[in-house]
Amino acid sequence: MQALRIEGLKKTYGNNVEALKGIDFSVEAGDFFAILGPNGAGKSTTIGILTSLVRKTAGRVQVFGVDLDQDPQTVKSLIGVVPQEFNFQMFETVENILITQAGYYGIPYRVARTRAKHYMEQVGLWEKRASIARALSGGMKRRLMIARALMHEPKMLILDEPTAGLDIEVRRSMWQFLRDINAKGTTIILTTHYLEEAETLCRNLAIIHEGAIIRNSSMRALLKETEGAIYIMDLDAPLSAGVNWGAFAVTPTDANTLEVKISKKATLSEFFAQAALQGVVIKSVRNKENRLESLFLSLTQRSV
Amino acid sequence: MHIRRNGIACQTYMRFELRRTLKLWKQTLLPPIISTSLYFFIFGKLLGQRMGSVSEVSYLEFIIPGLIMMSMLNAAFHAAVFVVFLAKFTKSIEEILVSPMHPFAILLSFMGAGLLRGLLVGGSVWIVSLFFVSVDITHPVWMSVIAVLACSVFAVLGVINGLYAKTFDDTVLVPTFVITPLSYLGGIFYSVSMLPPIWQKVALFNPLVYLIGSFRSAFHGTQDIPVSMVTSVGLMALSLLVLGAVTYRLIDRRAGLAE
Repeated sequence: MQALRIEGLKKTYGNNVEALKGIDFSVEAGDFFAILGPNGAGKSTTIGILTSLVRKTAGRVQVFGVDLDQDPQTVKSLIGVVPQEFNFQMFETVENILITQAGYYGIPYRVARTRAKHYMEQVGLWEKRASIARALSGGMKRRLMIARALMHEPKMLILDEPTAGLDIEVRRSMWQFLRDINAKGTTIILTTHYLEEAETLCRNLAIIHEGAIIRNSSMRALLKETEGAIYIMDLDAPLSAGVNWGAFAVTPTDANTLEVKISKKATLSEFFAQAALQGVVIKSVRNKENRLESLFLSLTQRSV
Repeated sequence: MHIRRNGIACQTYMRFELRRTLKLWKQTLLPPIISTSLYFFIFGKLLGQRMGSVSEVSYLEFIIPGLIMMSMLNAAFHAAVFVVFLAKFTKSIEEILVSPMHPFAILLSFMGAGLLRGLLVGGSVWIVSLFFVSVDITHPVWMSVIAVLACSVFAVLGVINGLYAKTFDDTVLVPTFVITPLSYLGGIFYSVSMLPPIWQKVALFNPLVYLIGSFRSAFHGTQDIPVSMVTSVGLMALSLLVLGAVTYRLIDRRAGLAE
């Protein structure tokens, strides 16, 4: 079943800025889907339309088969939203924010209290239940927004830059939490500027650029298109002269470090075998750049 | 419209607003109580003793309904403006807009916030007035109906103001430059019949003359405006319907709320 179906979605703002030029894509139920694009590409407008914060100019949106124009209230009850900016009552307690939000979705007070406890424990905010939201750290505020979006147990969760500004430790714990939610059957749609995040979490993606979809495929299919990857390798000992690297393009950046380009046809194992033959011991390997990042840049620049 | 779901949503919002109003009692309830107490003391007790009776009641008794009405209208209007504008300012309005609350439920919630504050302030001021003089209310049901309708009308006006307000300054313009002057000129401290004939006619263009006059009629059973309580209540109900319909349309179109 399709969780989301978007057809010919257009948005022109009052100042004649055409934010969306008629986009089409769909998301399967249970998917972990990324919407990527540079700033101003139309990602937030798309999410704004899905969450009824922005009125579309034309097109059709269906969420789990329910048409947004025909039954906006049902569509809203199916969606949970985690916006990019903090938008809760800053002077309210964590627990009250969750209970109040549940009430807006028609969840009775007693049920809301039980659910609030459950989600506060899930996101690690139980100890902070009586704290004023304004006093929470950035990571806690993000977790509060996720818990708030889950209070009515939506079938689809939309996250707009959920880990923006968070340190790597908090970000990784957030990833695990989102994976767990997704594993329980909630469809997740994510926009992010951290392409590593999209690559790690999402199975399918759409790339929006200047209001149009320039790529809509599975993450695996997209990554296969990569021309190859450049790796940084730290050596055990300084490189001696006259090493034969065979067909590999190797550039020493200093005596103990190499930059190696592994083409689409070659493998890292082949390179390691060649290095071993030449008596070169490699201590560590890391990507010079994220694969999705380079693809993303090439796609959006090609589109320009 | 899903009635049960929207009912719970409105109830949630009202509970939230009641808690906020009581928590912030020093900002929400205390100022009107202090200012009207001063009016009761200065105009009612000190000066009123020298002024004799107006419309068959003592001067202190005469000014009580008008002062209660002015406090209620200001509180209802201000609360409604404030909840809408603050929600927009902090973006917490999005919590409501992304939820399945029907635009009518949103209107009722915002209006209810104003109504609740108006009635709380009006009730508090009335209790304070009992320390100065004990008045038997002649028509308590009519008085309650007028209080609820008047607060609702001004709460809806406050919602409209809140929707269009872009700065904090925009939220105080109407109370300062419209409600307070019209209240003073609407017969809080004098009976319209005491004005020269030409000014009596001018005064009848002031809608607050009818609100204050009919509220006072319900209080004391006297009549100092040229329309009956029933007519006043009918006009208030009609105003509420028209303003409510306009505001519903604005909320449905997300005017001033999103994009």
